[in-house]
Amino acid sequence: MRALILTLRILGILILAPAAGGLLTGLDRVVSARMQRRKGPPILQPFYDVMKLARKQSTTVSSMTRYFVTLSMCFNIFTVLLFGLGLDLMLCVFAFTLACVFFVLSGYSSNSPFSFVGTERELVQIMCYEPMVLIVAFGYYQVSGSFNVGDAFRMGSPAVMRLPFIFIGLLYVLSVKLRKSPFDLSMSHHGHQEIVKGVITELTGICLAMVEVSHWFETVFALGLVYLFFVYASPASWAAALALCLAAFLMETLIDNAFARVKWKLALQASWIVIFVTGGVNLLLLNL
Amino acid sequence: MPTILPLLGVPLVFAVFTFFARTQKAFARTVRAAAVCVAAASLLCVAAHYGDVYSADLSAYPRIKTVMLAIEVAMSAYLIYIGAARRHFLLSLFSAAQIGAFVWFEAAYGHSIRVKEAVTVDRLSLIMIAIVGVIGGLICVYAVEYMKDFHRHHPEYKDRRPMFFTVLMVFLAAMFGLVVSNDLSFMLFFWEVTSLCSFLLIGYTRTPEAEKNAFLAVVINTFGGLCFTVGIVLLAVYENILDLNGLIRLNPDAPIVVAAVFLIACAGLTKAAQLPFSGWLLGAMAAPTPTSAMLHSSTMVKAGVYVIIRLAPLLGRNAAGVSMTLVGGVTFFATAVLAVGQSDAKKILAYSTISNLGLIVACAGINTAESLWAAVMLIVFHAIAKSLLFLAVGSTEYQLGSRNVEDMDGLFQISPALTTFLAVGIAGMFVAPFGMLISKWAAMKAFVDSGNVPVVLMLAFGSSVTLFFWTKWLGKLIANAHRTAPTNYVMRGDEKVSMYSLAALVVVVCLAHPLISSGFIAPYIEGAMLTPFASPIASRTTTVIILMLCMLFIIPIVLLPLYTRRRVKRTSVYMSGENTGDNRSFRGGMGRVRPVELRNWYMPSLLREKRLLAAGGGVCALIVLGGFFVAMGGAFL
Repeated sequence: MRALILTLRILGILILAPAAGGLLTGLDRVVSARMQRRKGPPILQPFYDVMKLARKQSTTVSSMTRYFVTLSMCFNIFTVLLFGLGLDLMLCVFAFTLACVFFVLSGYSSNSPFSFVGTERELVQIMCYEPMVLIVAFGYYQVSGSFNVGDAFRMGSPAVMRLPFIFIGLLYVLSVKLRKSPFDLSMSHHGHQEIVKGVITELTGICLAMVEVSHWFETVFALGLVYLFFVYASPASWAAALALCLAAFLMETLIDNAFARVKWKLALQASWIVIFVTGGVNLLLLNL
Repeated sequence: MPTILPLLGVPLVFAVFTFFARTQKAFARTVRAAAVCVAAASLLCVAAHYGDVYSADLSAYPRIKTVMLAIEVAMSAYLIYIGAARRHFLLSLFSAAQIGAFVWFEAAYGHSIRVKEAVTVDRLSLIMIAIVGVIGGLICVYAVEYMKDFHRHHPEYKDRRPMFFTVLMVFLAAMFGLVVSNDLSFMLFFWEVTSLCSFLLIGYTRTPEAEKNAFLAVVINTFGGLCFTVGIVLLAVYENILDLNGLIRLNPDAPIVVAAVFLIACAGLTKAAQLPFSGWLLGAMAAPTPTSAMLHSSTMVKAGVYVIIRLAPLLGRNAAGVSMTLVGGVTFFATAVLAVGQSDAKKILAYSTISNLGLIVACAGINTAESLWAAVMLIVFHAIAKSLLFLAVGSTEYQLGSRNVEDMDGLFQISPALTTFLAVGIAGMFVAPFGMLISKWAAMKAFVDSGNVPVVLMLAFGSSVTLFFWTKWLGKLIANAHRTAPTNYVMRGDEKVSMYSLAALVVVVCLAHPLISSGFIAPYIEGAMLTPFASPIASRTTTVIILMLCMLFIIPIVLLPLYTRRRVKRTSVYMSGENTGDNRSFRGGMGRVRPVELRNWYMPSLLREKRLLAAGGGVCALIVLGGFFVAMGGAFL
């Protein structure tokens, strides 16, 4: 019986997470278009894109790239699974990091100059947001008493009450993780930002589709972290937190459309300063 | 005793054999036999004493102490002489002060204090014995062929292999001695032996650079020895105690105990190459690879952190504990940042060693059960992964004629085995689900629990930096844009055996870590802290970790036939249309064909090695000095 429930939950996550991720990406494109006074694609466009990419003939520049892209996608899915099953948050962070490492390695394996530049920038971006993700986990652990994601639903008050600064820090690095302007250094979603597309320059067909799907899962995990800040024992908060996640995502879209890309050095220094201040102040307050 | 004596006896006997060996065959035979015997002796000891804490009373044999004192006087005389002869007067000064203090103490107090159990073997000792025996043995095996090639590559150096292998054997014996000593004067004796051994090993080639580094190492370590001696003398004179087990039962807030513990822990800092004292370990990488592997993984630096871990019950919130925690934390962060700017593989490894040792020191410094667990786990995993990395870099240097990470492009085509070793080692160092990360996780948890915000922040930032420099190295192993011409080097059997074994150990020990935890570390912590202890890694988590490990192996295996069957069209990479046909060159300005070179980022504008080293060293020196004044002031004012 327990095995059956577990299987059902896993299946549920495997269906809901990409659906949510894809819809969010579609929403992002529509909202962005409206901000630019365009009509924009239908909201289901990301799904059409992926299906079309998957059916196209693939080309490749290196035999290893596909493996790394696949591994990256698998570990992204695994991360969301761990998170959805309410397991240890640190494990999620580590699995997530592993997925990022594989994605970076796919860039290295292509041996392409443009891809390589994007890869190095992607690495810098990881360095920008990784401390914050860890600090979010630490903060969550301090207020909930355990690293288990599931325990958030048993807390007496939402975590954001005691982690307001860490939450601000998380919002800041969210645009680094989701590769939104001004931090879309490694690859941009927008055609107008760059002609050659960073890490994924050499990817085609099914590989590109896998990167897209990975990105859906990444988005879900990133917003899952936001969700953790608002959810607590009251069932009303479960839905409210979802709405707030959506608001956070739309805020990222707004920022994405309002800023120009910064240089990597500024990106690194700015995020580290923000993380140091928000994380440091909040952790100090918790431990007073 | 019958299981402890071989630990010292076997390497010493083989030390004599290797000293008289002259041909390659003789070296190969004796060193292989030595490695097997040493590893067997260590495992036998682990098996024999797994069930109990073994102690031996040696007070019936007062001669042992006399012999040790004689050897120590001789070693000091040699150091004083060589320091004066080569104009390293600081060495003579430290050495003279140390032996003077020690002889005076032995004459005045030595006989009045009775140490009931001069030798104690508990679970922590067993872990160390296994590490020293097995990993040390494997490194020795590797050294056989490596040193032969070393002299073929460098005919300008005098072949002093008999001395080299003899010192390696003595080194192993001294490490065994150190980790089974309960009597602090015994421990000091072995401590000094390892310092002298590292001096001889680092100076092996006798080039001016090697001599400089060897003297740097011995000066810093003799300073540590001096601190150790003064700490022991304080303990003996004021507390009438000369054994470790008695020491850790003292009141950790008593001023004199804090002062003594601070001094001994400072000795640990010098040996573990923490920041104001890390110069010597960076210099030591100039020595032949087996030396670096030995110093960095199973011996020397591990002796430093071992002593600090032993003292952990007396650290915590006092001056000694706070300064150790902060020095460890700052060192962890600063040297991780320093590693980003390096392209010399050995230098990256050196900085990463110092960084990880910093984490271990910080863990011991806060003195909670979980942090101790993390510290011991870090020792285990670090020893395995780091020795593998050093050995693989040594062979790669022969294979490519360079140990620069930027030249490792396309190593996979040249030597898949070496690439695999390097990749396994690197993965073992920083990525889930491998051991270092599991231990680092426990460390993070312990620091968050203790509410030590500065160190928590340093951990968060330091970990992301660590990720950066390891991943870019891993990327270079996979990339294949420009290829370095390989030399005609072929890996020999001995080298393969040691590297395959270590690579297997990285994976196996990761899978077996719950057993190590419940079988060794938990009993040790319960003994040291006198509280029941459960592993900080829950069993459900362990399941997930093992699942991840399986995924890492299974996914590629499943994909391999799938992807090889479905051929895809190969195209050349995008180079703005300036391709020349292959991916290795492009048409540059004026239509000239130029090779593609893809270089990693080293951020020279942000990271200036000298300035960073000075800043980190300065901060740590201030912390140590502050700790010193507070500890001494508390004790004597």
